[in-house]
Order: sequence, then C-alpha cells, then structure tokens
Amino acid sequence: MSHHEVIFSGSGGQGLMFLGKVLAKLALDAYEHVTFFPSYGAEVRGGTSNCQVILSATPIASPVVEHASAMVLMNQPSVDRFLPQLPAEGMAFVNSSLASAEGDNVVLVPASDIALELGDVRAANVTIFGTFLSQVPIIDKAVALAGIQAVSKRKGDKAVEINTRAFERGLEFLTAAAK
Amino acid sequence: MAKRVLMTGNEALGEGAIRGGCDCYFGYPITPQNELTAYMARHMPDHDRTFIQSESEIAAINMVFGASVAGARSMTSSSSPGVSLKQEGMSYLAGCCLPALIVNVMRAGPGLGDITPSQADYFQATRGGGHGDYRTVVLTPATVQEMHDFAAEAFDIADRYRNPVMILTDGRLGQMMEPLTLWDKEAAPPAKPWALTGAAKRIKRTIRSYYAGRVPENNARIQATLRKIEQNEVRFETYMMDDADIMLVAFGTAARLCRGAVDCVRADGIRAGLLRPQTVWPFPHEAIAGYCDQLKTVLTVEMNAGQMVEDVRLAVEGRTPVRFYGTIGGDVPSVADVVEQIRLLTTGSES
Repeated sequence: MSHHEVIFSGSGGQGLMFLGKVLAKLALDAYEHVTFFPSYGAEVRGGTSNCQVILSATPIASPVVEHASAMVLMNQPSVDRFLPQLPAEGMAFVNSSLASAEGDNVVLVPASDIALELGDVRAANVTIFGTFLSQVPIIDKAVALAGIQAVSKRKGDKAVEINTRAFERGLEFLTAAAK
Repeated sequence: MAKRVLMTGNEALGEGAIRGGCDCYFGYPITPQNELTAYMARHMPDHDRTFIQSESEIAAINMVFGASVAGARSMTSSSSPGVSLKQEGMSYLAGCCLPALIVNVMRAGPGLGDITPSQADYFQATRGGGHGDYRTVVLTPATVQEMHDFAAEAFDIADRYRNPVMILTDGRLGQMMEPLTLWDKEAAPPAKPWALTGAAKRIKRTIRSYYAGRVPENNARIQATLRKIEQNEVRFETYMMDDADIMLVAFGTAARLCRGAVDCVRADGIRAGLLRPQTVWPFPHEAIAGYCDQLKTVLTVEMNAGQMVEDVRLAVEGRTPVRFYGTIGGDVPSVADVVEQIRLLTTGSES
C-alpha cells in the first residue's frame, strides 16, 4: 500500500522543518494526499523541534503520525522521545554524531561529522536525508536532489555545492560503509 | 488538472479570502492563527488592499464594522479568547445587517486556554455569541482545500444575506500543510445600495441596530433572513452512509479522524458511516433526522465536552440513541481512539 508516515526531529536550527517541507513538496506529483504538520506547542530550549509528513494514496485522517514508517532523529532528546514509538517494521535514522541509539531497525549515520568534514555542519540534515532516501525510497532520489538544490540556491552557489555533496555522501553512506 | 500547491491551512485561508475579494483585513496576533495575519500583511498590499494590525481584537472587529458599513468586503481573524473579545462587535454587525467574515482558529478554553487544537467554541459560534437574537453562518472546513474554498465563498454568503459569516476551525487545520488547488473564480461583489458611501447627490442612508419604536420590525427582518439562510445554506457531506447502521457525526479535525475510523471498522464488517456538517449553523438537522430509521446508534465525536451533540439530539428527537465521545483541553483523539469507541458500541458495553 502506498502510505508512508515520517517523523523528522532535532533541535531548532538543525533543519528538520526544511527536510519535512522539501519531502512534502516534492511528493505532490507522486502522491494524491500529502500532509505536513509542524510542532507548534510550547517546546523547551534544548528540546525537540519536529515535523511529521504523511504521503498516501488515500485521504489522510490525521496529520499526526500514528504508525511511523521512518524517523529521522538528529539529537538525543529526539531519540528519547520518538524512538520508543517506532513500530517493528519502521526504520529510524539517527545522527550518531550527537545521539546514541540501539535497535535492529536503527541506522546510525554520523551526519554532523560528515557535514563538518564537507565544510558546513548545517548540511547534516541533507546528509542524513540522503541515507534515509537510500533505504526508504518514497520519492525519486534525482527529484529530491534537484529540489534541495533549488531551495539551496537562495543561499548561494556554495550552499548548493555543499548540499549536493552532503546528499550524495548520505546516499552512499551505507554502501560505502559496507565495503 | 490545475496545479496543486502546498500551503498551511492558515495561509490557504488567507489566500482564499483575497481571491474571494477581501478588501480589508484587520487583526491582532494570537497563536495558532498568526500565519493568517502574517499572510495578509504580506499579500494584501500586493493587491492594493488594506491590511491593518490593530491595537486590540476589539479595535479590529470595529474596523471591520466601519469598513463593512462603507461597503467593503472586510474580515478579521483570531483565536478563542480573542474571538470572545469581538462578540460585542459581532452582535452590532448582525443588528445592523452588515456582512463580514470572522475567523476563529480555536484553542482550548475557557480562559486563556492552551494553543493546542480544540472545538470548544461551538456553542459561542452557533448561538450567535454576542447578545440578542441573531446567528452567524458558521462554516467548518476539514481540509486545507476547504479552508481556502470556504474563505473565498464566505464573502458571497455574507453579502447575499447581509449577515456575518464565521469560519470555525482549529490549530491543527491552521498549522498543517496540505495540497490544494487555488480558487480561480473572479470575485463579483454585488452592488450595495445600502452602503454609506457619502451622500452627495443622493438621499442619505442610515445604518443602525436600534430604530426607536421599530425594534420588533428590525428584529423580524433579521429573523426572516435567518430563515432564508436555514433554507439555502445548510452544507454537509456523508461518507459510507448508504448501508450504515452506526452514524458518526463530527466536523473539522474530528471529522477527518472519524472518516479514518470508519475505514478501519468497515474492514471488520462494522457498518459505520459519517455525516460531516460543513456548516454548523445552519445545522443539517433534516439530513441527520433522515437517517434515523436505518440507524442503531449515532456517535457524535468532538474535541470538547459535548456541544454539537445537543444539536444532534435535537435533530434525532429521541428516535435513535445518541452517544458522545470527546476530548477536552486541547487533547485530540487518535483514529485508534475513535475506532475503540465504535467497537464499544457494537459490543453493547457502551455507557
């Protein structure tokens, strides 16, 4: 069944809302029903900023994820809050530069370290998004990269270049690690 | 098919109002509707229309009054405590037979309340809210598309009857993004031969809510308009009702959850269906009553302690048992919660 529920969570400024919006927007052509829902409640400093994206062939009852198919968790508070809700068939992508997590369906990606190595720690979100899409191909990878490049363009050529490399590193991360 | 765009409910509502011909927006910030005010601040000037961030909610509704008197399509928006502040102005709009759009992106009162989604202002919205014998037309969108479309249509309804119209929604619908197709009909505001536009070279006009010695006549005129609205403007949608013996009744966010719950229990052979009011005043009494003969139970689901259920009971008039399930204080039920309530009905262990 064509139905996917994704949680993106991290601390404010790590670019999780960005990832959620990019995914929701790029999914418009492939999915009849799409929802994006941001956390807008009273969040605490050092806590989590999260958004939830649902893509479906059928009408979406609630934009709040009840059965996550995937999670992208960028810091420890996000892991502590959301990982316990991960269903057995779901997958979690955890930024292991800043958080630790265990489990059969947990993929550890040192996203902040990779991004730092590429020249800008802010590209950690795009790095882990690449790994996420390599395992959970809910939208086309080329469409995703083009979308990220288009949005990054507002911040200049350097941002486009770093995000492109970050996305590709993330995409190849698991195959590279297996070698 | 027209291109789809992705917007938050609040922004889609703002764009709908602009496309529906909103001339003036007046508002004061409050969560969870701020994206709407921000959208109007950004976009109304592009269309040479008026945006004013007022000094208070009360000022905003009175600016709406002034603009409407002059014939402009005007609106304001707020969230629950702010909408309470506007009630005096809304009563005067109704008393003066003035069109306007008021948006309430509800939060969980009473008092200041939490900013999380709620439907606790149902009574206030559907019973007039301010003092006196009046009602506002109350539209209840359940999707971002409807947030947009209802805002675009609201001014036509308000002008047609010279009566205020409200869009009643909540923070979840306001904050979430969903794809929508933008309204592409040209706004066509009617002539307003009653508007106060400067009396040079014509007989002067008067708009007031109090006519000395003629208050019953004025109120009767308002009541006659309300009866017309009841005849013409009831809106609702049904889902899987043809063979249903359990009917869920819910609006807005709660209706989306109920639709999901109907799908879940149908898979197990439970014949549930949904009736979703898109207007809660006028209320679809007749439509609900029309299903009574085929039903074992009606289940009303709301994000409050039980408000619309009173209208459902008035519609059903004792012919079918009416149950209620609600969450309060900004809690939103999950689809699974609603499914559980339906199952309780079918196992006979309902309270």
